[in-house]
Amino acid sequence: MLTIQGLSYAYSDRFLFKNLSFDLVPGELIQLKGRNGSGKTTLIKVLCGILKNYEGSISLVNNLDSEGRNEIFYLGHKNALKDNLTVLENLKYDYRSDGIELTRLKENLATLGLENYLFSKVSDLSEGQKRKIILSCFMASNKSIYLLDEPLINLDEESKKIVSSEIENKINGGSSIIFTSHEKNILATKDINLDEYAT
Amino acid sequence: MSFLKNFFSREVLIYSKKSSNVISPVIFFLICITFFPLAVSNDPNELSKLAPGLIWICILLAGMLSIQTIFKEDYDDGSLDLFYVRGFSMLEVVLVKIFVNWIFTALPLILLSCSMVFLLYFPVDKLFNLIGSLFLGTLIISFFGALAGALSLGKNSILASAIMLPLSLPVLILGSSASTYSNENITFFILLLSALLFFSVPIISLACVGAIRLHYE
Amino acid sequence: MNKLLDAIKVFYHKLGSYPWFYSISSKLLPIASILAFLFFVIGIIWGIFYSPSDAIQGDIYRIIYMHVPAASVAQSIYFALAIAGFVYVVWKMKMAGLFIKAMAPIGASFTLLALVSGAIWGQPTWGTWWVWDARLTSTLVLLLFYLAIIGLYSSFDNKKSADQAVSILAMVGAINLPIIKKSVDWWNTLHQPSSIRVFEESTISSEMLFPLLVCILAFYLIVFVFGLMAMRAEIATREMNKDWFKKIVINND
Repeated sequence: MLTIQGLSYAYSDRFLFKNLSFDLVPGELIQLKGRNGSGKTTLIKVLCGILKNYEGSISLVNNLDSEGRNEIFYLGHKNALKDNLTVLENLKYDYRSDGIELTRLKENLATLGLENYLFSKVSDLSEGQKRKIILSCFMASNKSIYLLDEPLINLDEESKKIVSSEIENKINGGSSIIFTSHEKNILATKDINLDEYAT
Repeated sequence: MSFLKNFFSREVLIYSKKSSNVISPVIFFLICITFFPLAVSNDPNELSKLAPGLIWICILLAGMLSIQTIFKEDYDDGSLDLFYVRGFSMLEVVLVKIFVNWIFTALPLILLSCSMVFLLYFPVDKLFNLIGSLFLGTLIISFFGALAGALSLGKNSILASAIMLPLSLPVLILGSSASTYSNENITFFILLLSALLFFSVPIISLACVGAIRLHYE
Repeated sequence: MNKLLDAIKVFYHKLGSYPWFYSISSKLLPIASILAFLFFVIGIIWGIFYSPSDAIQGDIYRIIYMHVPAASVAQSIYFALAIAGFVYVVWKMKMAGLFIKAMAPIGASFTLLALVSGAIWGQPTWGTWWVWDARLTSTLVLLLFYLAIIGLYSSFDNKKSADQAVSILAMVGAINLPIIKKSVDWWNTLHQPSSIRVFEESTISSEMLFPLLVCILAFYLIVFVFGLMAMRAEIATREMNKDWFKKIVINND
């Protein structure tokens, strides 16, 4: 579904990773590993089309959109939330969750324990709570490819379990996921260690 | 079209929730204007002669503060990443952001500059010239400021000003001349300003798109 | 015709390659330096000792042999930067980005030289160091543009982004410069500033013109030499760790 061949990315003439090739097939869960600065976040950004300055080829097969972007859900390192808006206002204008009914997002927020914060400003929330807002978009969305950068960071143990089981649900539903994490309790079907592709 | 509408209302919501965006240029403008009579002269004749230039300088400086940071928040919090992932047209993003910023920062300043008739003894018969030239001039300056901000995303603000000020020189000259000289000349300056606007909108907004892109290399 | 086109294409690709440029410039540099030095010495000595003194200004006018060439190269360099910016944005030729980086400080220096020599000339002839005249003002704006380019370049860690950024700025600045010049002209005629006419429409006698032309040529050669040196230095910093560069350094030792 997603085929990567000979992918290299250079920053300031130094290659972060070189000649990376792998396939992502439906139902697969790939964990990106590597030391800090090995290019995990960069690889995610390259795969979802933010960074275009790469060498090699990335091809999406069987995707509906000609650009292949609408089929990708991206959860970045940064939350892309506006501090001055409330949680609901943020969700209304969130470009991860458009097309999803608000009731579903609210249900997910409740599962993660944020049901009393719908009208609070984002600036009043903790980092973990902010992460939960965008994770509620992740849980509600239905895409074929998920690219998640540190999905479990700043979360409490209980929420980690909820999100992990949601990841499993998506895999069982035929979606495929690439994620970066230092956690060990998610069972990935495949590991890619970027240290092996460093130069 | 639906994206444009959606994005426009998003921007309007963000600006309306952050009142400092609107208030700080106004405060800055008033402080600047107050300084001049105190530092230069309080003679009504002299002030009314200097008024067009003073208003233009103060508007340029006040507008500079906010326009240079229009892409900063979206860049810092990762919203721009999402625009790229979703494949939104960055040209539309740039145009909407500049226009909304103009509504919320330049428009109040233009309205406020009407009060300069009293504060700086600005000649009433030229008020129309002033407002007309300010409308066009602030729009052009917004585009140059947005380009400066886009080029220097994540860098210090002096750099953005260093890029923006030489670019906005023609607007300053044409604008302050339009509000100084007699009514016969006004069409000449207004025409020149409109020409500059039509010329800079496509070129500068495309340059903005490229300038934002270069931070993602 | 096709042959010519192919030759241009080959030259263009060669121009884009650092090793080719580095080796060809090391051959060009000594010749160009000698030429620049010769023309400069001839032009200056001719201008200062062997050309007639001006009927009105006396010997003061001789600063023209510094001032006019400096002002001329200052503008030409900016024009070249804008073209390089265009080439970089459209074809992503990395040599063009390097050219902007290397030439901007040189351009800024010559603009400053033009301003300072103009001021020194102005003091005895019109009794003031500075006039807000159209030409002086636009030269000052030119200096601001150069400084903005230098400042913008130095704010990036990533050379590629820096090249892209200064290319965009150089292009937009070049589009804007004629507008600035024109608007400064309007502003100047509207204000009708002073009785001083800075540049009278005067015909320069051929005895003064020839040394001036030699000086202008000398300044362009100097810029060429400085530019080559600055570009070589920039190549050296960018390609320090590349094999071809190490080989050259070892061979030279």
